[in-house]
Amino acid sequence: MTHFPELLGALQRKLIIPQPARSRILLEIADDLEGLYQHYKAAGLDDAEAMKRAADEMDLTPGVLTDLVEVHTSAYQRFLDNLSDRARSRWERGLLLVLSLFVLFMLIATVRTGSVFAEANIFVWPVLLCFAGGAILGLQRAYVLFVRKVHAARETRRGLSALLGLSAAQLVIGIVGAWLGLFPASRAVAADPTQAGMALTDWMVGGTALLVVSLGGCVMTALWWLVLTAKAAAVEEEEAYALLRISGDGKKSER
Amino acid sequence: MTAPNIETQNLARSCNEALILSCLERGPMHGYQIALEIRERGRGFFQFNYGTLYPILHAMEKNGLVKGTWSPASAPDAGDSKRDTRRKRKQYTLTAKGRHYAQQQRSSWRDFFAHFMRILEVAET
Repeated sequence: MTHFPELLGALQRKLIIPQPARSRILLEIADDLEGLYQHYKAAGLDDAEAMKRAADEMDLTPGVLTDLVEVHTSAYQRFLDNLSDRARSRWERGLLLVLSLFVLFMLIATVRTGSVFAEANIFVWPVLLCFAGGAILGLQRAYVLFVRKVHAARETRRGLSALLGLSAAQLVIGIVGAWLGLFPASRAVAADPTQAGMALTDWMVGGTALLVVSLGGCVMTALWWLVLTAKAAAVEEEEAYALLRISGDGKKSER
Repeated sequence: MTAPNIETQNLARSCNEALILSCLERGPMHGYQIALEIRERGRGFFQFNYGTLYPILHAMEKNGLVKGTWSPASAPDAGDSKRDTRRKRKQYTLTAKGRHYAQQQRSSWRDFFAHFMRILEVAET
């Protein structure tokens, strides 16, 4: 609960910072205001005086807000800010759609070839292991965020960095695996130059099959991470608004 | 003579930064506790606007000088206990880089004031 719904409401309107930073700043200031209020109450001030003193001392001037916005706005965000909201959301949705279509197309193409998993070199196993780990973690996080709807701060983003890490790991293993396959192929060519064409073709088939699997897994895991991150940001935003709303209702009922 | 490692273009901000670092050298603190500590240690000399803390703390966090961690807040009174299970409190801790930076700042401020006072005292005489 907060005793400062108006101050925080005004701050929320003025603080033009992308989520989740905005919700986090609001929660931090809300809690520090409560801390100050409790401090002055403990020092002997009455309720109204303690609230006034805490609000006065937490004076968030336009200069302070400008500094906060500057700290939390990246160069990329500043670029996006130059686009209108409508253009930006259209652009972002378009990008996501293109990415999803690309993944879908690649999956269909992969399934149609049938032998891509069999032809990929041995590095396909750690890639598949990372993908399976990402799928289990992603489903578990989706269950927590969408079904159980847990809103505890420690829960909303738990595991999301690991999911992104697993996505990157698939790509890295794929690239490394594809290049490492060149070494045995080169040895085979050195041992018997007449088989060079066959050895290099085997390497290319194995390497590209591995890259198809690893890129597909990487993109799908990253897309899942994007969906979960967006949900976590929405939960945090909802939580910050709920904090203000709860107190606002409380204040109305007191009147 | 070495030039002070202080952003003299924005002296107020540099000053606040040094005060915050000095408080955090004593141990982890919440934002408002830092402000109260500065006022107490300054014996009321510094009329500190608490709001100015946040941009400085967040910039220092971004630069790896301090680390902010969230922990659940305790309910201040029984009537609010149900709602307060949702509340979190952010606490700041000085990192190793921050501790080193704080020491540098202290030495820079000492030099700065030594030179500053030398000029004032010459003017006085």
